[in-house]
Amino acid sequence: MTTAAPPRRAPRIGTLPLVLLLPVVVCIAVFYAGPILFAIWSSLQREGTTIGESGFVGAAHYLSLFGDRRFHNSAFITLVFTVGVVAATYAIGLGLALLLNRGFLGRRIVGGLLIIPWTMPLVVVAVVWGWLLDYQFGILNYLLERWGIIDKPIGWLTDPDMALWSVGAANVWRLFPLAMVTLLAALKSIPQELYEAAEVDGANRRQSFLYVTLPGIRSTTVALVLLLAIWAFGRIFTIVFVMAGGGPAGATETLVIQIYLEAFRYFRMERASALGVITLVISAALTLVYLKVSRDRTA
Amino acid sequence: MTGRPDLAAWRRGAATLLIALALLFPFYWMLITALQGEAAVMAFPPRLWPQEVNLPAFIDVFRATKVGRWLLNTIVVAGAATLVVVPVAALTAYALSRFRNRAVSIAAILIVVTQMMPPVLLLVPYFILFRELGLLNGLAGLILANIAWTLPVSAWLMKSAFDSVPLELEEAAMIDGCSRFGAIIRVAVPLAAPGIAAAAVFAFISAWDEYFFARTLISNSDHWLVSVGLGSFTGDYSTSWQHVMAVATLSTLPPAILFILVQKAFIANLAQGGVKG
Repeated sequence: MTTAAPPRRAPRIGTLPLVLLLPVVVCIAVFYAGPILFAIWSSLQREGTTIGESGFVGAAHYLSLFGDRRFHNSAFITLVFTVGVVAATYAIGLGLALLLNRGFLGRRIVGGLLIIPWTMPLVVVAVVWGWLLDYQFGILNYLLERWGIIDKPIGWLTDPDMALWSVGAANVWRLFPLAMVTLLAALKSIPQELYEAAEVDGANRRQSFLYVTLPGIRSTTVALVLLLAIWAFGRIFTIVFVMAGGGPAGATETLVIQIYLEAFRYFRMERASALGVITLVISAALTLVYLKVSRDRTA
Repeated sequence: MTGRPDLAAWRRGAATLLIALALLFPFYWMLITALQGEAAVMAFPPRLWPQEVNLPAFIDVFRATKVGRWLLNTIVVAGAATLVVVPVAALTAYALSRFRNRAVSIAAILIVVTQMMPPVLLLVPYFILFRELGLLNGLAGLILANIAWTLPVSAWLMKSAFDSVPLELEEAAMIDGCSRFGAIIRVAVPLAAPGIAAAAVFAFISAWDEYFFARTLISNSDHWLVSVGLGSFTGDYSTSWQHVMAVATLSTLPPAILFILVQKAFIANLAQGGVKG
């Protein structure tokens, strides 16, 4: 070591990092950045334009989308779906984390078992929920009828009023372990002394929850909610698509599903690209907030 | 300790256990349906407890569907993608962990951003790109898509493994005559191995789980992955429910077993937000 202490983690930079980072940079350029640029270009072209041609139509696809009832529907469905999935996932995750944070026998085993949904493949979750919710043979309709809660079977996936709730429930079921594990880690990081101090000051349970627990998990909550929102908004596809495919009557047609249908059912690639760019802009805005929040958290 | 807090703890434990069992019911129902005979599945009232165990459903399903083929395809795609991703991601992660300059921080942000993007945006460009490259309808194209898909997130997950390896050990190796690259391979990588293994499992599970690209880029059912085959049963009334649940169980097992092997590291990753939909 030389006399002047070099800054930690910054020895002789040179070209090594660039060489090591080259594969991932190429991967991002070819498989992420290129496709995005292509989608933006494509969204401005006349239908059926191929690379090399020019069929520039400006914002025509965007303008036609903004006046389209189908787009209004999927934007609304996406909003309801995103808010519902995020809120339910967070609430269930927090409830379970609070329970698991208290001492009892077998806590580790129960916590471990509750991770199971997170480990199940998405398509498996979709078909298993499809089976539970089956109109004719599904166990849920059977149990609800036997317990006298309903008089006739509910078309969980065929009734337009129910389908969004059903696919939302399946997604929440797959996601809650993520919220549970993240929030449990946050709860464990709250120093026990704070609770003791609150008790000395005469705080009851509700007060210590409001003034110790909630502030203690605040930054984790913000990051988790943003992450779940980014996910539910732009990245959830498989479970919704396999369970309901956007139907019945567009009841589960989120923006992501609509993009897929426009591209691969109606073969309107340019319109799909325009929808994709709109989705990307909203995702990017949420991501910027997330990056800012997580930087503030680590800084 | 008096008896009272113990009793309260017992009650809490019992309540939590009941909630957990209720939440895990869909998983239980999958197994029970797969293990029962056809008659039992359609029985009314449904049997909440199995009265017979019918393992042959798991054997029948290989005759009734192409699940054997699909599982094999999935193992090939997930395995090949993981084998390529792990060494490349490990070196990327090393760079992300050890160096601090503008290029490194830009790369880090780009990697995080890839995990936030709506994948549906990529689908049309991939479709066109793969058509031009002649990679549609084959496993090679799917392997490539999965490599592209898991490389950034795997590198991100491995970064923390290198963060925990002290730099002094590499410096000592270099003083003893090792090159920087030699120090990475002989010192840093072996010490980061548990974290690298966990990220490798994550990459394998991601590829195993992948449905979106597999469904779009492949149309021939001989080349389907198990996720696509399983998804094709919805709305197809020729496949009976216990067969669907048998395939569901079979495609849950490999990721579940791998998950148990690296559970601790995996949960730590999960808490850092290594997510995919």
